[in-house]
Amino acid sequence: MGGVAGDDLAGWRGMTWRASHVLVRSGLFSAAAALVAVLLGRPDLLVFAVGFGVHAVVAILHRPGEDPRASSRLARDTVREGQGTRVRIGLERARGVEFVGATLLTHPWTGYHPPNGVLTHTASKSPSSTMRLVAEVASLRWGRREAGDGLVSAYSRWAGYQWGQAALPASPFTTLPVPGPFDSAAHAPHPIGLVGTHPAGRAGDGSEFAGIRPFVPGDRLRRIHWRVSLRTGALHVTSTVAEQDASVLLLVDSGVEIGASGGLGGAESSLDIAVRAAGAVAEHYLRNGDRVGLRVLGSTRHNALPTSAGGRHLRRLLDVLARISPGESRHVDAARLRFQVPAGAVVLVFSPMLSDRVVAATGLLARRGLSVVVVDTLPAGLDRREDPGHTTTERLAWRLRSLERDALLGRVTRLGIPVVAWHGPGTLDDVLRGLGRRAALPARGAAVAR
Amino acid sequence: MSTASDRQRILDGLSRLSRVQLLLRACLPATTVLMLVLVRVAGSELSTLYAVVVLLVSLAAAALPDSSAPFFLVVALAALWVVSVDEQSDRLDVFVLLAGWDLLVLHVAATLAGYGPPGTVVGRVLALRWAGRLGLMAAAATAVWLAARAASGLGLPSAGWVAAVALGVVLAWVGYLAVRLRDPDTADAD
Repeated sequence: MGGVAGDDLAGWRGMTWRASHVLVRSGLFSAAAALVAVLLGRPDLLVFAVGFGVHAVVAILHRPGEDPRASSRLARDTVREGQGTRVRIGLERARGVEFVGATLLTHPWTGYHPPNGVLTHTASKSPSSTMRLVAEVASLRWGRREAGDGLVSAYSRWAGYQWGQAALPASPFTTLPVPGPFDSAAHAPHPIGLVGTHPAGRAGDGSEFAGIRPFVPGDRLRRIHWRVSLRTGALHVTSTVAEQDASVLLLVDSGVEIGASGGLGGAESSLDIAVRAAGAVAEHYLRNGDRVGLRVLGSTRHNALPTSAGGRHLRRLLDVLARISPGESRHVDAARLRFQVPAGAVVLVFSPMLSDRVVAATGLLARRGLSVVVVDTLPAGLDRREDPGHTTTERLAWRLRSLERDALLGRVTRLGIPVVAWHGPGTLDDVLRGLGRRAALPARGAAVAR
Repeated sequence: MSTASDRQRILDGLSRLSRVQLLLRACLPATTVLMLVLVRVAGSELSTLYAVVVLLVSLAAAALPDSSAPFFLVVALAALWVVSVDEQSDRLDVFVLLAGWDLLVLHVAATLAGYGPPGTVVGRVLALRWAGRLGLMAAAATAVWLAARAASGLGLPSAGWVAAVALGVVLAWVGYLAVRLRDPDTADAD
């Protein structure tokens, strides 16, 4: 990967070597002590002065000739949660530099090694024109993160001159969510694509047995069921169900985030659950050859990704998920939403279901005849209604909020939309099978026509 | 001006001190105490108030080694020596040399501690290099002390021209420093 160059530092422009506190101390003290020694006739002060004087003279003789240039760079611009990359701080034109130190600022959900973000390097005795500092930075939560910003300074030999402190700019990088463990044995209820793994509602070439029927011209000879054919005296063939790919639309509610996020391996907020669950579902279906789209409710930028298939699409999808910013836009007008979802698609809504607008959007999709499933992402153990560690007012607030949420979930359930809490593998199996059985039933309109 | 945020920053920094930094910064009050002991041994009565002030300055220098506090500490200790060691005492006994070494140790400890923020770890290479430099500075001080003792032992008569030459050398050094220590931006503007 190419790496992310932090800009050449804005902070170093016009910055030059200047006398350090050390040189000022040794120079001024040696001069003052020597002056007093001569004026007062105190040889003891001369003994004090001479060591400092030696330091000052040698330090001045080692004044570097040219001003360094600093730059910072990240080795990779994209990592997964829990993964790390390297921050490389370079100091060019560093021939006169003996010591370079940098202090990197720590940001939420990022961690450096060394943990305090302080890097130092001492030059060898043979002068080098380039010095490098390397720190490892790990991202502990999905999203857009920054690293590599801080201050850098350099000292000449004998610490007589100091360059800096110059500001290092931050280099942004993307942390892709680590999809949670997920697997589903249930097939999509309405596979209407071309070729895939889901049994369709019509007969065709596939691997799943559908029945045995009389031979018709055009049937393949290898499909002939000889046992039945001999018994009945007429050719019969084995028929199979066609297998098609499905379209899945992931709808992630980023309008509100409930719970505190502890990063990877820590406590999960509702948005953590939603993002990691959406990533897991997307990875599962895309690996099975299905098409997956994404829509982020509550995000103003990068909020939609049309349905598509393939490994690159998974990467694009995770990238959109990583750019989600909670609470960016809470004013979603359900009437104006255009989901661009193909017919027969399964819509999975990842939401803590605390917003009337998300319920409206979900209802809108269900009324279009799409199979909609709500995945409840409210973190378990967040209910404070009976928690004695909270005040009465807080418990009352939780109770009111829970009542509102129950009402919203009731509205969703009355629309025939199943609601399941996210628990990883198998979360969607029962509801998808239920939707599949519902899809296999004759439509109400068709029954009336018969 | 000291503000609440400055105090917070300093305290935060002190809470993140590395072991090496702790050792280096502890050297500043320790060498100050040693200097006070030397002054007491070599000189006369020590002013308690002055000693307390100097100790407070040493604590400030330990907290902020990359500031002017170590300079004021060195000046305060030298001034204390000048004031306390009166004319009757032998001005070139071994305590003078020990006091000179003590000031140099203080100076080098402040230099090493001031290389970076409190979490900075001074590497072995740099520490050894500075140990050598400290030895060089101490050797120069020792050489001057020996020369001064030798001259004192010879009982040479004081000559005005020698004092004038010495003053000239010192003033030349002061002038040279005044040029070299000026802020380069200011120098360019001139």
